[in-house]
Amino acid sequence: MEPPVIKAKKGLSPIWILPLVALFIGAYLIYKDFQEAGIMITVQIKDANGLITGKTKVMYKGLPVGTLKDFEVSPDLQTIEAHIEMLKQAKEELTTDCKFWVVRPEVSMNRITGLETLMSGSYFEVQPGTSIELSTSFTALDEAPPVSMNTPGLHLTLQSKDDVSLQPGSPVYFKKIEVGEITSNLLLDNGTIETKLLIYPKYMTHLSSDSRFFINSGIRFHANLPKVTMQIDPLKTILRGGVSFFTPDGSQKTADITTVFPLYASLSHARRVDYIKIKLRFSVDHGLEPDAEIRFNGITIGSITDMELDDTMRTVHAEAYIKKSMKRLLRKDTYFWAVSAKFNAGGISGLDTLITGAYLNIIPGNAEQPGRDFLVHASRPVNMNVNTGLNLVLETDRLGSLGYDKPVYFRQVKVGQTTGYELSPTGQNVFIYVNIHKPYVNLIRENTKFWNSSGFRIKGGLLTEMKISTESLAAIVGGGISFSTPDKDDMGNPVPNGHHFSLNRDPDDKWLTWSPALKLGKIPPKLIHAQKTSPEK
Amino acid sequence: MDAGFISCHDCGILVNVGNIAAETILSCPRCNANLHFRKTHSISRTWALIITSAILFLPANLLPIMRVDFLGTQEYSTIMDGIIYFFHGQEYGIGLIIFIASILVPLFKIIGMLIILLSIHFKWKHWLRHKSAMFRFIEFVGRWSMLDIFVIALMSTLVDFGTLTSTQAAPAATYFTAVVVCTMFAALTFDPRLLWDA
Repeated sequence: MEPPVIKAKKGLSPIWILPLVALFIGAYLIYKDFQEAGIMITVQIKDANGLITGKTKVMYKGLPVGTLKDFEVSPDLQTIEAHIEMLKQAKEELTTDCKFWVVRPEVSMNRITGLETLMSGSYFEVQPGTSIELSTSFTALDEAPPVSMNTPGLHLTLQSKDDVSLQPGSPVYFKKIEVGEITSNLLLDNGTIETKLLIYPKYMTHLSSDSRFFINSGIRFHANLPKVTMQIDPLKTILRGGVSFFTPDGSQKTADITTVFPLYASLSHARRVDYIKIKLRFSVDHGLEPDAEIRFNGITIGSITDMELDDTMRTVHAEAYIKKSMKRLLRKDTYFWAVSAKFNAGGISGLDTLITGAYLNIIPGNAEQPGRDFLVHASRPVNMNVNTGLNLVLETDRLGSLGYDKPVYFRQVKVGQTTGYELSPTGQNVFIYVNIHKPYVNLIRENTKFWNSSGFRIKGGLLTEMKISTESLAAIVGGGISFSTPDKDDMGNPVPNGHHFSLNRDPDDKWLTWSPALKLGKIPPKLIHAQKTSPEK
Repeated sequence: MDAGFISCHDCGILVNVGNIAAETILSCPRCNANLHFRKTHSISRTWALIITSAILFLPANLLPIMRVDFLGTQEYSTIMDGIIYFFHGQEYGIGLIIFIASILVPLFKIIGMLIILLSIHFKWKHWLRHKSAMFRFIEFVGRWSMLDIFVIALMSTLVDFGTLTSTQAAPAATYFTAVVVCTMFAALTFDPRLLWDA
């Protein structure tokens, strides 16, 4: 047996540091837990679908600020009381008007929200209030509250009488860029729909007090043959509806929060606001439809909007809007008439209306006073005061196949046309109004003879010489008027506007031989003056 | 001890130390290891380690042990959450294994060691054979209780797809490791012969 080596004794075991460290850690954890211990609040909810105790969070701007701890059905079995532990830091924000709601995934035809909850599960969302009174008991909202008025941006109110398919969250567009959103949509007691919206701060400058808001209906199909337009808004708008606005040029770039804007049903409605509104009256069988155009010399200057029958059921009252720039056309005596397709032996007219539908044509009047209320005639004016050329009145005992727009021939060259006809005041004659085109005015002299060149004439007997005389084929079918002016010495002076001639049924053989030398393309100064006074009606 | 013999812990040589004062420190003549009649401060060290592990056992189980990020959503789960998850999924076997390895075994070790220490402290003379059998079991089972940590270590390396989904260890993993390490050391520092000294 060897003797052991003897060494000095060591101090106390340092192992006791371990439990001390553990104690310290434990104490720290307890302290931390106590420090972070949240505030217990109760939120009344309708149902607890998708909510998990201990897991479901209360989110504020995407950050968790609380956790669902426990459920309890309320004593009356109507609601569920959710006990939620909120972060200690949130204490000051738990005021009486603090709003809670449950965010769940929602996929419907017109909106898709809360998709993130498909992955993370439903959660509570909280929106702090402005009150200073603290509370620990809340009732959850059914759905997310409208964007609070504190959100930076421009809060506006739109009013509309029409039904609108808008929902909170629907976008607001400016030049197809999303610049805001609808925050709420309320039906007021008086039937007005009040839509509140928020314009993001970045885009506030695009808005002025003259801005006009209109509804984006999603898909617009406008088939006004031959032009078919189809406009499709972004998919989001189709699903959820949306509002657009435009700001007319030159308007002041300021809009007040208190401003209430009207909400128009469509872009064209919104555009129409600065159009001139006129009233039209016409008889029932007009062939016009709403949206029928109003044209002047073939250019569209406005359109009819609403139509309704009056109390007698015989007259239609319509509203129409005329472009502001066409204001000058609207005189008190401006003449409106409906144009629709006509087929008859005398001709085919208004073919374009077969495709585009009937439209209104106007002839501006000369009166100084502007007019806003007009009667729509069934046909063009009888005594159309064409401002160029020479207007004449032909008297005849019967109209024959003459009518509107029949040609007036000189040596089978068309030099004018009829502009209308009516019975003479005594009923003995027919007045046919004729306009001779400007270059040919000089052909008309006091002794000029007019005859009806419609159809063809057979002259002579069976046993004698038979003579068939015709004008051009068009004149045979459609009818027309020819005239001839005597040779130099017999022709007489030029005639003033509105001069009356008699219209013969047949030409005298002698007339056809006349061949005067007349200067064309020159109008006697006297006639220009005479045109200013309108011929008798 | 009374006979004046010490067995070296390392090489097992039996040394006759005669009647040397208990405070002196002896070295093994063969391998130079320290010689003790019993493991030095065995009782106090074991106490310290067991108390440490008992304290740390609480945060290890109450705090989340694992964090799973799934599509940006963080989800923390404690050990018990995992067990409940498996039981809900009808995976009783896996649930049971995790329950035994992660909760039952550490708890058993801590309580077992406490019983042994208390029986030494109060010089209880009953069930000594059972107690030493229990100690042998505690020593044997110690290495298996790291199961949870292995799982988390594996998950965080295997399940890592960036933002899509990833797994990370949460605070309790540290405490849990500490508990296991402490109980293992406690089993190591404890000298079962002390049971019989009383």
